[in-house]
Amino acid sequence: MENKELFERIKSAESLATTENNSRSYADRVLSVALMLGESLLHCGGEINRVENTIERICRAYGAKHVEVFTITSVIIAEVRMEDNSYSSQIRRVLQSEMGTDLNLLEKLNAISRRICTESIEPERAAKLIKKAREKNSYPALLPLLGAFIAAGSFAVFFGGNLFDGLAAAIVGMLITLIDARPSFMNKMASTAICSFIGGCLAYFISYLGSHLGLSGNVDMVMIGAIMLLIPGVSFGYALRDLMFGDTLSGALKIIQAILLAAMIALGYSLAIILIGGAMI
Amino acid sequence: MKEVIMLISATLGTLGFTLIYKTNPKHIPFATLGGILSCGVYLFFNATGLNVFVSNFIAMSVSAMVCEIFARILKAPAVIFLLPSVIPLVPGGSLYYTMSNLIFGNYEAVVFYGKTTLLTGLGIAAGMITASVIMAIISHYFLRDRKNKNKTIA
Repeated sequence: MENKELFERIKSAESLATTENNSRSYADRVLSVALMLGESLLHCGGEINRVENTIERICRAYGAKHVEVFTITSVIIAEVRMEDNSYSSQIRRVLQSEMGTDLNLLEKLNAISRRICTESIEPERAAKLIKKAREKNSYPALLPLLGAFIAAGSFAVFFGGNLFDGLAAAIVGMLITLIDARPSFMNKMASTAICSFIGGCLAYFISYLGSHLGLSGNVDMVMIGAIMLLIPGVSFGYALRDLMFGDTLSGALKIIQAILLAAMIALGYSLAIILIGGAMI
Repeated sequence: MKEVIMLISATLGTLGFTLIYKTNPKHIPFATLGGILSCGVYLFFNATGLNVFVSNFIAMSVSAMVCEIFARILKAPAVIFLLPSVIPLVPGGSLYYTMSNLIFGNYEAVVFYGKTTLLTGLGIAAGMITASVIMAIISHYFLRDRKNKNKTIA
């Protein structure tokens, strides 16, 4: 429910930035565009200091005299003051990682930000460019699924499983990725716990089949391969990096989130062990 | 032999994650190369007997430096190459084992895996920062990169 409202808010901010309206001050229009770009960058996996730098640079390119930006993982606050002392301050509540990491979009947004800084584009035209890059997602939908298949399989082998474990993990990982496209009423923690529960059940099922066919199935290895897709290991590493770069608050938030997610995964998986593992062994 | 299998599977795993992160197909070979490099350097230094923190630190510094060079050559943000190339080092397994042992009450294992997770994460973060500071110093003093002169280090 909450997510739906947030999406509507994003849409209204978008339409505000793209429609030309002379009643809004220049500072207001500039800041709308800068925040739209910053928000999109946060969505697709940009770092905190990249978002802050980008917003500041765009405002300066439009002739701002004074810029203040504060960003954490869920909020962007910014104020901009022009030469004629007109000013604007806006806040964006950022819906976290709804779309997942999208490096293709990140690259496009970065190119747009460079273009804004070198050519002088009208703020509304720049906003339309950002909107177009966000909506026109040209990346083939099957490739991430194939990636999940390859990644889960090879990490099962990486952690010491045999080839059968790799194949089983690849299948489980692909199914988990399919399930992970969660409905909007469920929050991320709950959906991760459910995903890892289903993943654990599937891993048990496939290993059980494998051991009947004479292939040695090692449930732990199947599971750790599939878990690599859900586990927030990268965000744990990046959280520590944020901490060391001086973005203390964002780093701390991300670390707490990563630890809680890992706990949810462990919870879902141990439920699978207790329910199914006990019955089968 | 074990190291060779790990290196090959880490390469494939990095390739898989470049697809999950929707990397531009043009950049996939370079991002995967970063992953091979970080995993290879880590395995090499780990085999010589260095501890988890130091081997992760060296592996990440080397591969992050190479990623920054790719970023300058291909004119793309460094994070596009960095994010996939961290994957083989990421403490995903040990983070999971920490929490799962916590749930089952094996507190000795919690301490062991928690320590590994924290040291690996710190090593990765320290490596990234070292690489970006070195690159910032090089571009500030040697490349006379006037456009980036106002950019703060790291």
